[in-house]
Amino acid sequence: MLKHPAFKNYVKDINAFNLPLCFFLGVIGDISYAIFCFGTLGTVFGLICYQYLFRAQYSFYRNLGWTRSGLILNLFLINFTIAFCIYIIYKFIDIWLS
Amino acid sequence: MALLEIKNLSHSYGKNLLLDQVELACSTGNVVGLYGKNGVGKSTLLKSVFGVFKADHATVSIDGTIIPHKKIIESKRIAYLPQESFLPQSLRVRELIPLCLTSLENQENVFYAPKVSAFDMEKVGNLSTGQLRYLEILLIANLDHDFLLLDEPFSMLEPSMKAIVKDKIQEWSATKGIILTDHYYQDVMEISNMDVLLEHGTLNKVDGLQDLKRLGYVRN
Repeated sequence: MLKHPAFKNYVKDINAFNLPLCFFLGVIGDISYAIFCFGTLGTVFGLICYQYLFRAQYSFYRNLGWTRSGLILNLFLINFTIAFCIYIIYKFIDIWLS
Repeated sequence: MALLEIKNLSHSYGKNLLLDQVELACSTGNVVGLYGKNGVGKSTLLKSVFGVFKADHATVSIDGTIIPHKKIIESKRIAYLPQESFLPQSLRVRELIPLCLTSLENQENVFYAPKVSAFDMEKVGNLSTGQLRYLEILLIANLDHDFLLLDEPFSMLEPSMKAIVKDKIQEWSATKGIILTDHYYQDVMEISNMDVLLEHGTLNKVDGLQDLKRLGYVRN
């Protein structure tokens, strides 16, 4: 599923809601908050927005053999991994600069 | 040749028994026309078979092997066209086709289907309701699944597109088993080789238009 282009489209659609929230948090707070949010609460926010606006599109993914729970689980896996990697890079840069 | 069997499908909403031990079989080559008045449970039946709705009791088996409710979608044996549109709206049609269909042959079946070239550069969100329905049918039917459940495939289709879809359904039935429901009963009857009417929670076999009239689905 992770390499399938349709799954990438799902991740893109969810993160279209997630990213502005993280950006907002990064601006008013700290970058590490924004990174943490991307892999956790931001993803939940994206899922809620997607559920509200594009719920019918789950039928598209179901026809490809993916259940909603499977999609959500893999989405969290991806977003959490991305957030973790970015946080590590951010910390390295932070240490290097200080 | 594959065989889909639905046994003992029952579901009730409170005290209202919607589906009462429904049994239905569909094999490759079958086009089953499913009729019924609004609210009798046609869509619920199809959703239960697809695994997106959990009925109180249901046994779905393919080729004699029972598929647990949670595994139906993952098995990729049954494709389902819901009533509401479900395609990602932000993509162009020519981006969406390879996203949905991985095999080149299946992609070409959609790209070169009649009338698709007229809108393949458009964004899905800009298609007319009829074009969107037509595209949805083509995409779902060209998946490699053995069975096809079509919920109101003819709604909003212009007459020429409807004729194409009817021809295509007969073409697809050579390799798939198809169950379709639509209130355009004459169109369904034209292409189906088995007809059933869902009434009071049970399925009754129907033999032609006279039977539909006798059973009260069509007015005399």
